[in-house]
Amino acid sequence: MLLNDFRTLKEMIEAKNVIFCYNGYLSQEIIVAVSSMIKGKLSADATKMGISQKVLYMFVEQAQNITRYSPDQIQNQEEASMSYGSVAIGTEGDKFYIMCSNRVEKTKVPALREKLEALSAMSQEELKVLYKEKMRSEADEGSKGASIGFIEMARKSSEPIEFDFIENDEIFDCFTLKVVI
Amino acid sequence: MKTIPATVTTPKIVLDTHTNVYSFEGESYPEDVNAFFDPIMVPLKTHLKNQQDSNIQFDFFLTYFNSASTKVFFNLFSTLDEISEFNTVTVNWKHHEEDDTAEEFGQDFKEEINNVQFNFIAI
Repeated sequence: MLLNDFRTLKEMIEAKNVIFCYNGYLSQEIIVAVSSMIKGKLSADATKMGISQKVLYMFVEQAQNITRYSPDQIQNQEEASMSYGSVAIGTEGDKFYIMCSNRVEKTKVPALREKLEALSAMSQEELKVLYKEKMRSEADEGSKGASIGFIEMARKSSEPIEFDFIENDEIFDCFTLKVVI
Repeated sequence: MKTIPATVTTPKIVLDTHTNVYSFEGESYPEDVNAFFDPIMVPLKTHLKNQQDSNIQFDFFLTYFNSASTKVFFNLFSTLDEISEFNTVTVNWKHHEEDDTAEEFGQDFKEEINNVQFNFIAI
């Protein structure tokens, strides 16, 4: 990469009012450190606590989705596992956006797409009913979390969640998700 | 009385099975929620289900928790609802005055329990 390329990349990021942007291997330690930075930054900006808590919530859910589900993982004996993905937090007018992107096996895409399409079309009331239902049931098969992270993000988002799946190669698609607060 | 000190991703937990006063305070977003909470919640629920005509108090002051932790607390509240038939159960849900996110979580939990005295305490 040329110096100029990197500067262009930085300018592109800054033009989107990005507070934080990460592309690489994520671990729980990094999530903890970034959470601390987000709290410090939003507190310094006098962001309302209810809002900054939601921003933090969305960031941790998205980042932990990457550490749990990204297929691009490194498992070392001594070190904690790390997973490859991207996360960004920024502002658009008076709103915050939180986005993430990682590769997903094509075989898992239809079920994930169906789940997210349903969520993005639901009203707050419908989301709440589904949320309560999931809370009372066992976690979905293959889910390491509580399988309610997406529902909770949809509930906390002030606009319908946005997402897409773009062809990456024969085995993987690139999954990108955006929520707004 | 058992005290589990807080870590950066787990809350301080105080379990007093003699007085039946319990508290959870801090943040909760461990990478493996079940690995952290199962050894705490399984014996706690067994103890609670053996209580009769007792005063049981739970104090929560959780500033941040992830969705997997929410499910752990949801399950605990369902046990509290069950035992409230034979006991007097009180939940004190503390939150920062400006933290409406934590307050909303408390509202979700409150809706799950019928016979429990649920107090919101803004700090």
